[in-house]
Amino acid sequence: MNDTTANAPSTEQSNSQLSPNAHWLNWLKIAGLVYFLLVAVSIIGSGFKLSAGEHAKELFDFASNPLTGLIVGTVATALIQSSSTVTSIIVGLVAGGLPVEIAIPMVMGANIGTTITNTIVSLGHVRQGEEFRRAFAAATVHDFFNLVCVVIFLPLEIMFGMLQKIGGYMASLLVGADSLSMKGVNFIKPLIKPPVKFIQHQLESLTPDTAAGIIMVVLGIATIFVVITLIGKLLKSLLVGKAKDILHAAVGRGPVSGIASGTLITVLVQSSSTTTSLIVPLAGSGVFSLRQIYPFTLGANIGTCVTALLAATAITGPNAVFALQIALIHLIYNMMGVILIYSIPFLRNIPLWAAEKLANAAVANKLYAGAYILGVFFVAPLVLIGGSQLLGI
Amino acid sequence: MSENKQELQRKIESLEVRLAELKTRLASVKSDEQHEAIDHLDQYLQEVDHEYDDLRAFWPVVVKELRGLLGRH
Repeated sequence: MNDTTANAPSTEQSNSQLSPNAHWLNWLKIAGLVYFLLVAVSIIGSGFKLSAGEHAKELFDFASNPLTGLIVGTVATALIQSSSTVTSIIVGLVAGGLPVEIAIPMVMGANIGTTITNTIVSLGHVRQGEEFRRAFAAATVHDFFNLVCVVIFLPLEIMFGMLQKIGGYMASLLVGADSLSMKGVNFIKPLIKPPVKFIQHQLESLTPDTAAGIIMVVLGIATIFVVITLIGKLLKSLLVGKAKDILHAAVGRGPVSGIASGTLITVLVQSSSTTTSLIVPLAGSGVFSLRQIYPFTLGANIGTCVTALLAATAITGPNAVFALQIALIHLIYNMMGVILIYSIPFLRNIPLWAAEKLANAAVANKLYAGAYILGVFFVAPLVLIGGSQLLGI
Repeated sequence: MSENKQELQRKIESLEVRLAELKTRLASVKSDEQHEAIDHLDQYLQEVDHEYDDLRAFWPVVVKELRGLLGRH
């Protein structure tokens, strides 16, 4: 958190603490960082294409099992603690040739993995019994919602390729069948390509193509991680006042307003884990009930899709349509999940019921909380991957 | 008997009006509390940036419970 806004008691004060020059400078920094994000995504795409060539599909054969893809997405996001970073990397990899059908479960996994952050934040309340119960339930309701989402949509995707078809149709509508390059209108390519080509040529002159490609992918991933972290920090300091206004406006207005405010705040801070972590202390104090914060949490799932969509604009050439397709699939999946699960009372209540049960158990014995985090985010994924490899599924 | 019934009905109506008033007041108090909490969003944002402190706070509690569990068996 930027010092300039820390402990500000009101919106007006928090905004006024930044001088106009500092304010503009921060927005310029954000514009520069967004540019680096686009370059980094493009570097990953070019690097992956360079290192894998026509063998991109074979390289990711290990993840051709949807369950493995889901787990890769979950564990990667839980370790990095940023679904925006992971989905942007996935967009870059798809641009480099990773098949969309392999990327879809990874994107679903990113949704699950990102929920670890607010669960960890809730552990800070561990010494305050009732407060911990409320905070832990508020954190895990997001986990259970995302798990229910996967249980519903992953089998549908495996059987019918539903998301892939919808995403493909929408992407082709938006960019045409061949590429994102809209002749004469594409202003991204001349901005992004020169630094990517420069880095590629430099690396190719130093190392063989495969090594150069791998270095580019690693460089791109590291850049995305740093850039998204910095963007998040800057946006938090700049837009905390706006976030307050949005929340104030949403109080007492029902679930649709809650979902919309969760979406908006996540778009503003570019991080679903920030949004979902924010509500942990709000729920922990008992001021907001679990049912009140639940829709707000779901909005975070929708808002986080903006980063991948932004990343997809960096991609040009024949794979641009696939990069946009996976970014749109991320958005469609999250929107359908919210609409379907929240509109059916039985499905809507499953995450609430599960979160309350788990929170009650965790208050009685804190080992449940530890076992839950280790189990869901690390042990179960590794056991499932090991099992599926052993069984050759 | 009829008067008694009317009296009861009147009392119920009066109580219902009073209950509705109290519910409105409670909703208003809750809403005020929520707005006040939102005004402290800056502090909550700071908390979000300290996940590792949260894990550090959690660790000794888990270790203590684990020791208790193993000690019992």
